[in-house]
Amino acid sequence: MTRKLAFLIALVVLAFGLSLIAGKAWVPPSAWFSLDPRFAIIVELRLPRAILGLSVGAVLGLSGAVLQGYLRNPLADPAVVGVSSSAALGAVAAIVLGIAANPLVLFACAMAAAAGSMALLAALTWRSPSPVQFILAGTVLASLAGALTAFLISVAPNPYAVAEVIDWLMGALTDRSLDDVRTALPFMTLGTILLFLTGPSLNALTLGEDAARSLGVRLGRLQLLVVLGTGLTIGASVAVTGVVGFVGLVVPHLLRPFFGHRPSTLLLPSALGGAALVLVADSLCRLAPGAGEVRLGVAMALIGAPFFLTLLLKGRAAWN
Amino acid sequence: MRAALPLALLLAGCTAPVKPHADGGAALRIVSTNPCADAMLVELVSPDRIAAISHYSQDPAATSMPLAVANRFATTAGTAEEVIALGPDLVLTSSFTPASTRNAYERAGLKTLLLNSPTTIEASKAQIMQVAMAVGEEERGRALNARIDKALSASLRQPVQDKEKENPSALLFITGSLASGSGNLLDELLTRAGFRNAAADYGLAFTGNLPIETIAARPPRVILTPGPSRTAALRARVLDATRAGTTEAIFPRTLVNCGGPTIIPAITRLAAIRRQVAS
Repeated sequence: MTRKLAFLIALVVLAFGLSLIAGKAWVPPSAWFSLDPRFAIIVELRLPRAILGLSVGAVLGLSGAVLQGYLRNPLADPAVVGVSSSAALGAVAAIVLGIAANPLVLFACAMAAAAGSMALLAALTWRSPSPVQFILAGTVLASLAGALTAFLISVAPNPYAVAEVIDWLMGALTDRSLDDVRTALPFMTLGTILLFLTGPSLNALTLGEDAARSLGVRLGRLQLLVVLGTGLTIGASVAVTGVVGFVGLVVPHLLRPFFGHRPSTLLLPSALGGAALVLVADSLCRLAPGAGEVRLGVAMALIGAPFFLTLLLKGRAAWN
Repeated sequence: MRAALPLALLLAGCTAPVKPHADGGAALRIVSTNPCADAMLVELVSPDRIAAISHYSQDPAATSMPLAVANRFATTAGTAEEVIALGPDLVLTSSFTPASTRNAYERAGLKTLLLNSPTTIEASKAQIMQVAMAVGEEERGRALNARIDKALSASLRQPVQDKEKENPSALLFITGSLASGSGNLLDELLTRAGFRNAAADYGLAFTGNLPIETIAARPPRVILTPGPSRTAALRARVLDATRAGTTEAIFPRTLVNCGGPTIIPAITRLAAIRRQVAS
C-alpha cells in the first residue's frame, strides 16, 4: 500500500515538473538557475498553472471519491450531482452582470452557488438522507443550472460578453496568475480537510445506512461535511478554471483495483491521481500545435469519456 | 465563437436601390438592426428618417458611435415583431441576422438590405455607397468616403530606409486575450498605419486567443489593447519581467467593431501610436 502511494506521489511530482517545463516557449535549463529574464515565464505563468492544476485535480479526484462513497453510487461526481454546473452558473452570472472585474467577486459567486446548491440538496433530502433522493435531486439541479446558464448567455449584453462566458465555460488554466492561486488555495484547502474527515463514516456507510447508524455514524454530520467540503472545493476550482469534468468520475474507478474498495483508503490516492491526471492533461493542452491551446475541459472530456466507456463495455468497472 | 464576433459587419447586398421620396412625399423611414449599419446610417441620413437602430449601439462595449448620439434614437433587439411594428420602408440587416428573422421581415413585405462584413477598406467604402444609394443619399455617401480617404492619406507614412525600423510589429487585442488575426479590416488598417501585424508571428491565421507564454517567446514591438483587464495586467507584468521592450497603447473597443465611418478615428489613432513608437 505504501509503495503504491509512493508511486502515485512520484507520479504527481513528475507531472508537476512536466507542467513547469512544457510550454510554447522554450526556456533553457540554464535560465532556471540564473537571472535570465525568461525565468519570469516560469514564475509568473507556469508555476501558478502547475499549482492550480495540482490543486484542482486533487479536489476533483477527492470529491469524486467522497461522493461515490457517500452516495454508494459509482456514477457520482461533482458534475453529476449538479455542484459544478451550479458553481458555473454563479460565475457566469458574475461575468454577464459585469461584476467579475474583481476576481474575488467571481470566486464568491461561484462558491456561493456551489455551496447553495449543496445546501439545497441537503435541505431537499434532509428528512431521509437516502442516496437515491440525493442523486435524483442533484441531476435535476444540474439541468436547472445548465438551463439558467444558457438563459444568462442568451441575455448577455453583447457578443464580447458571450465570447467571454463561453471561453470561460470550456475550462482552462491558461494565463492564470499567482493572485488566482492566492485566492483559490485557502478555500480548496479548507474544503479538502473537511472531505478527508468523512473517511471513517464512509467506510461504515458501505454496510448500509442502518448499519452505519448503529455503528455510531451521525448521518447529519456526515452530510454537512460532504456539503461544505464539496461546496468549497468545487466552487473555488470552478471559479478559477471553469468547468473541468470527468476527473472525479474516472480517477476513483481507475484506482479502485489497486487500492481496494474501502472508501477511506481511496481518498488520498484519488486526490493524488486527480492531481497527476489534470497536470498531465494541462501540459498536453499547451503542447497542441497551433497558436492557441486546447481547452482543459475539452481535453479532459476527450480523455475521460472514451476511457470510461471502455471501462463500462469491458465490464471491468469495479462497482461497489 | 470567432464567427460570432461582429468585428466588422458590412458589404454586399442584393436589393435594388430604393428611390428617395418614391411617392413624391415623405422620405423613407429606416430601421437598422446591426451596429455597423447604425454607424453608417447616422452619417448618411437625417435623424428623423431613422425609425430605430440596434440595441448594440447603446452598449458601450459594442457600439461604433458615441453613446450620446446612440441614445437619441429608439432601439430594437432586431426581432421581427419589433421591426414589423415600426413599419419601416427599409430594414438594414446583416449576415449575422438569423435567416428565420430575415425571412419574417420579407414575409411581412418589408424591403431589406443585407450587409456583409467587409474585410478591406475598399469593400467598406463600397458598402457605404451601397447603403447611401439604398437610402437615396449618394452625395453624403461620397462625402463620407472622401473623409475616409483624407484620414487615410493623412496617416500614410513616408518611406524610411531602414526596413526593420519602418514597420514595427503590432499585436491588436480585441478583448483580454483575443488577438486580431490577418486578412481583416483591422489588419489592413494596421498595415496602412505603418505597422506589421504580429499575429502572423504566432501562426494566428484568424482572430483567436493567444496565451501570454506564446507572446513572451516572441514579443511584438507594440501591443494595442482596449483597456485594463486581468489578462492584460499579467501580460504586461510578464513582458516587463522578460524585458521584452514592448510598448502598450490603448486602442478603444469602439474602434474595432466596424468599418465604415469608424475607419476615420481608427486610422487616426493607429497613426498617432505609430508616431509615438517612431519617436
